[in-house]
Amino acid sequence: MARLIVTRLLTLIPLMFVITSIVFFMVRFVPGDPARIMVGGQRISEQNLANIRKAYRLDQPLVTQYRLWLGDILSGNLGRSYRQRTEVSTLILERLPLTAKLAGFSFLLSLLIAVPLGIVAAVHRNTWVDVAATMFAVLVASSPVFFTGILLLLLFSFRLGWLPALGAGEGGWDQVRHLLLPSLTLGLSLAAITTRITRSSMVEALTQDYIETARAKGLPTRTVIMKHAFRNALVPIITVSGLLFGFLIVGTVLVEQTFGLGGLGSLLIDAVQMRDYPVVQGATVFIAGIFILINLVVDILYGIIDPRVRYGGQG
Amino acid sequence: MNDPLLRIEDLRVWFGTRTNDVRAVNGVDLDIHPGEVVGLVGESGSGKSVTARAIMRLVPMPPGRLVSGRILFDGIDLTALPEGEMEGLRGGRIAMIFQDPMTFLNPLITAGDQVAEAIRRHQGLDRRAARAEVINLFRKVGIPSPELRYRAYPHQLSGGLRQRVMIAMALSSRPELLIADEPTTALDVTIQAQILTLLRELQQESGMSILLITHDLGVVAEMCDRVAVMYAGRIVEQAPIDELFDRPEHPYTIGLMNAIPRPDLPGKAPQPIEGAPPDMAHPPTGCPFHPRCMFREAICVTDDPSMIGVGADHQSACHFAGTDRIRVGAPELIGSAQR
Ligand SMILES: Nc1ncnc2c1ncn2[C@@H]1O[C@H](COP(=O)(O)OP(=O)(O)O)[C@@H](O)[C@H]1O
Ligand SMILES: [Mg+2]
Repeated sequence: MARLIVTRLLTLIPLMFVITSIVFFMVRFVPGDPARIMVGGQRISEQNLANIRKAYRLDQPLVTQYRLWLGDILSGNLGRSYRQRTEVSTLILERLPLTAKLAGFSFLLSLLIAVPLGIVAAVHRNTWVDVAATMFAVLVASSPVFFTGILLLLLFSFRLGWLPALGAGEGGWDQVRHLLLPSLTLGLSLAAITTRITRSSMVEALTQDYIETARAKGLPTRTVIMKHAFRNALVPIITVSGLLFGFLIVGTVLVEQTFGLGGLGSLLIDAVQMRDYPVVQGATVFIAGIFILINLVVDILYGIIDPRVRYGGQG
Repeated sequence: MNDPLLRIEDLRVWFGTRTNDVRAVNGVDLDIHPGEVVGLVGESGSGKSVTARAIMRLVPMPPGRLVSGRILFDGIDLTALPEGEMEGLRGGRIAMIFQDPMTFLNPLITAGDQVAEAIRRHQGLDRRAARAEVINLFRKVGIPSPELRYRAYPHQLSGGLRQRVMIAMALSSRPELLIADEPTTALDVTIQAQILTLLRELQQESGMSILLITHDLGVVAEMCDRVAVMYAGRIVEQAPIDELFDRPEHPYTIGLMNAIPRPDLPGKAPQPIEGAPPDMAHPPTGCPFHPRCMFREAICVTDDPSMIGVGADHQSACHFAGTDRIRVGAPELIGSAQR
């Protein structure tokens, strides 16, 4: 188990390095001069522009910039924003709670929708229940997030007036109300995939021989499904949930735009538009770090669920 | 004779659509008396497992369906029993063990907990009492260091130990009927013998009835009081064990016996039955065995033979059962069979 985690780290940390390095160069290949954008539309002398570039090391060769940046990152310094003159880490930490709540709620909602739906579809496979669940999943999965979001907005805010349309709200309950529609939007698109996985891994588990043993013991159907089949179906569900984290991040960016939420996603979008390199890079490193953490959690969960992972031995 | 514990009457379980049914079980009649060990033999695909699962009501429906028949257990018709009551019987008065103890145990639950689950379900014991009972049972079925094995996961146990765990699970509620579907097929020969001996001992101690499904006549010879031979979804011959080995009255039974390796008769190589069992979506006309039968006559192609008595408690579904025709066809077998 410990070995598994170490192996995982050894493969994920280089991956994180590669991803963030790619981002480092990519933002710089996008046309647009950060110095000019920084001063906005103002007329400004070439000399002043040069000073700004110098202050932010933008006059250095790319490779030198890269080396300096790596050094900063490794010493735990994400740098300062060009635009807001604040530490990138401060900006991220400011925006993080909202996005974390949004991501967390969305994920929770997606599981609350997908897992029961997938189980019911598997138990009643090849009946109209199964067909309906599949149709739901295909329909939602093929709708873009902003489209689902706008539909929900039209229905719940504008038509029924039950929920606020825009903004993040203030304080506990108000914020929950504000985050409900964005989370539902994102949760639904995640649920589409998770439903399919839950269904297929439950179908697989339900046709295993040990299910027959459980039934032959006289266990009620409910126990057979939940205790014997679902536990075995969990491994693929967790794997996919871990992978969906990337999807979740992209999703929060889109949903924050649709619902006017100032989270990490909008920070990132704004930073890209403003060529605010340190913020783009810092946010990427941060997100990649969380990705690694999620992967570790997934690995630990495997061990908790499956003794064959915990103790090794033949599969 | 006293009333049977289990009586199966004209059981038919078919699979698939109405236009293309696989007639997996197609008219089985079988009695099992209290304390009796009955063997059910036949080639793979003859419908043995479906018969067993039909008794437990574990045949998936759909695609399966019960076309006809009754299954009377101690006078209760299992085919008409509400599901809740059936759950009470399963693993309670009727228990079952399966072929492959690896795939039939849940990989994520310890061996002990899987047995404890059955005990708690049927005896309403609490966790601790159930645990103690599991340790007792493990000891009884010959699992060494039972406390240690309680906490083992299936993948940490050998095949023989796994099957002992299955047996402990099945016996936990002292069933009156144990259905064993090829319980030793997946095991090594030496382990097979140990498991069979264990089953025999446990049976003698408890007096339960056993329906022992196997395709191995050797196993039958060792274990059973009576044998039912199954072919193409029905019983084609039934007799007490010695009677069957001394005087088989169905060509299929003779074929099965000729297919057994006989180390005691060096000159006699095993002769498998030619051909394959029929496709039960399109069963042959007349006697289902006629395409492979060495005694075939015109009547076999047109008329389906019914079971006829050919001796005390001995029946065969062959047009020529009880005639010299069959006995002449199997001269080496007479008097020299396994027993
Ligand atoms: N769940 C099922 N769906 C469709 N056909 C089945 C199913 N179970 C068994 N059968 C069919 O029933 C026939 C008898 O199978 P089975 O009872 O397992 O044979 P045996 O145990 O004697 O080897 C086989 O032809 C098999 O294809
Ligand atoms: Mg079978």
